[in-house]
Amino acid sequence: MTMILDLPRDLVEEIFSRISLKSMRAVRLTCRKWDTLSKSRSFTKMRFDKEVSAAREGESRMMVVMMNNDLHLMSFFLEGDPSTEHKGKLSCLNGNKKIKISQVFHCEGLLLCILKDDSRFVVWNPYLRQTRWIKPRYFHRGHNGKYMDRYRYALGYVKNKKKKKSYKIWRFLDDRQIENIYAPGERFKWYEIYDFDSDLWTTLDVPLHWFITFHQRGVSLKGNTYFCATKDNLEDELDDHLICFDFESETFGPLLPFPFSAGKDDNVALSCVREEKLAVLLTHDESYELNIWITTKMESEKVLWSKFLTLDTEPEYPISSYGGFFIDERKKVVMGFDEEEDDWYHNNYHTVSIFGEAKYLRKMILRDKTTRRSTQLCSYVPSPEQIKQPARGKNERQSSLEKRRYDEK
Amino acid sequence: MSKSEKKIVLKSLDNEAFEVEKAVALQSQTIWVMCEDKCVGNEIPLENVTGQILAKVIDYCKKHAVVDGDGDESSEELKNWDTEFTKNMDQSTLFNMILAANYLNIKSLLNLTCQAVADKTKTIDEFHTFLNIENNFTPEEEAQICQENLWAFDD
Repeated sequence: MTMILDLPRDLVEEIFSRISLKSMRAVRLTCRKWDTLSKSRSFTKMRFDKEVSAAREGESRMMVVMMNNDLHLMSFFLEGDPSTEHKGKLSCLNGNKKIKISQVFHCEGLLLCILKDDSRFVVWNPYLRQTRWIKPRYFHRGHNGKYMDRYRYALGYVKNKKKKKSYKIWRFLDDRQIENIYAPGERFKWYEIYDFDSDLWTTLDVPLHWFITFHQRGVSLKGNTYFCATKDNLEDELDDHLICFDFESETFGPLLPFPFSAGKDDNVALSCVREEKLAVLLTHDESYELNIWITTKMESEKVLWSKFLTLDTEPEYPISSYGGFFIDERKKVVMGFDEEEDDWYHNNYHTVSIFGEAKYLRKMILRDKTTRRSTQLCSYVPSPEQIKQPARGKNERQSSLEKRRYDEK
Repeated sequence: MSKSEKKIVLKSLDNEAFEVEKAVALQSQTIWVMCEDKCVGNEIPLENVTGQILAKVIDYCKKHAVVDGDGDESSEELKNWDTEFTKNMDQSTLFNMILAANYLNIKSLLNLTCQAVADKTKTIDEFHTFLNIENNFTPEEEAQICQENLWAFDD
């Protein structure tokens, strides 16, 4: 009888490279030999090459979807009749306590996951199954313990001379939106950055002639993070400018105009196209029209856009700008997440809507009843990028100056 | 070309002879190279493949060969045939098919059979039973690996 043990190593790797991501933990836990093999460089490269060539051929797109505080990995097939494949749901082996995720941010194969209580974050490479836990220095509990999840996060990197990436996490809290509950001048603003190499947080001085509204999430592109921003002196939140946080200089670039003027009933959202360009989605509260532009040129002081799609989606509502959206440039397709109420049972379901240029439409129910609006979507591209672990025994040496700056706020 | 030149005889490890169309056999890069080599006559000895496995390989190649315009099966049909082909193979046969596909250098068959093994094994129990692998971890090692794999998309 021929057994797997009789196969030469390259054939075993051939088989294992086809085992779904869902079963990789099982492979490692099967026996010593497989644990070693699954960690080997040749095997990692083989799996990675397979994923990359599948993605290049446009067979499917991988997305990380956050629903009901859980993370799911899904593949979307946009060719012909669109369909989805559920590739896995996050499971943690930390005892019986269920991990709840409140925010997720993708940067070139690494996921920054914010735990629901904001007390800790995890940077995770699902492909290599590596994690690094990070604790914030301080925790602002908002007004009387309310408004606790108003921190926004971004993961980015700078490249050193040897092209090696040094990762940083940037987070901020700006209570402008709940200004009415604070006395004048009491507005709490806090911007800080965490460096993976030094394992330290630093406070940033950010001149605020603009702000980022609460529902806006950053989009990572080439290591930096882009947001929709509003000029600070305006009454309305227009989200009508692009702003870039540069992880190298740890500063923001100038406010750059979008190719449209947005009114107060308009919704604006950003997305990343093949890790190369940005797309911006404009929808209106009282209309079925949606417009998308993509960048044709991106420099620090200047961004050029061209129109990608204009669609009239009646009678379906356009894609919600809150959950994130995604475009396929070649197929001229836009995909977005929303939720829909079941008229009979009054249950809400997470749905994904796909609109194409020829106005074809498909709505898919994703599973799981929703309890509240909290869907987030980000495209996911596997990466063999290792997560640097902190050097042992050098934590807790935050400077007293940094502590004082926070206390004085 | 005379009829006999279009045929080729494949001889297995256990001396079983199979006469097949050349177009069928040439899907194997290994046989193709042997045929190029003028020293080999009409009969090709395959020293690494048993008759039982070779018969299955030939079935596969016949289905996938484009012979005299007969190979116009839709890709959907071929896919279904492939699924049926590997569905009831036991693990020993599958591994022999993988070894044969590798030796004969038939890329699509290697893909198919490797995928079939991967699809039949998803959980730790399946790895242990279907693949006959013993768990040789100490409890400490097992705990260590669990620790290294706390987060995974595997639910």
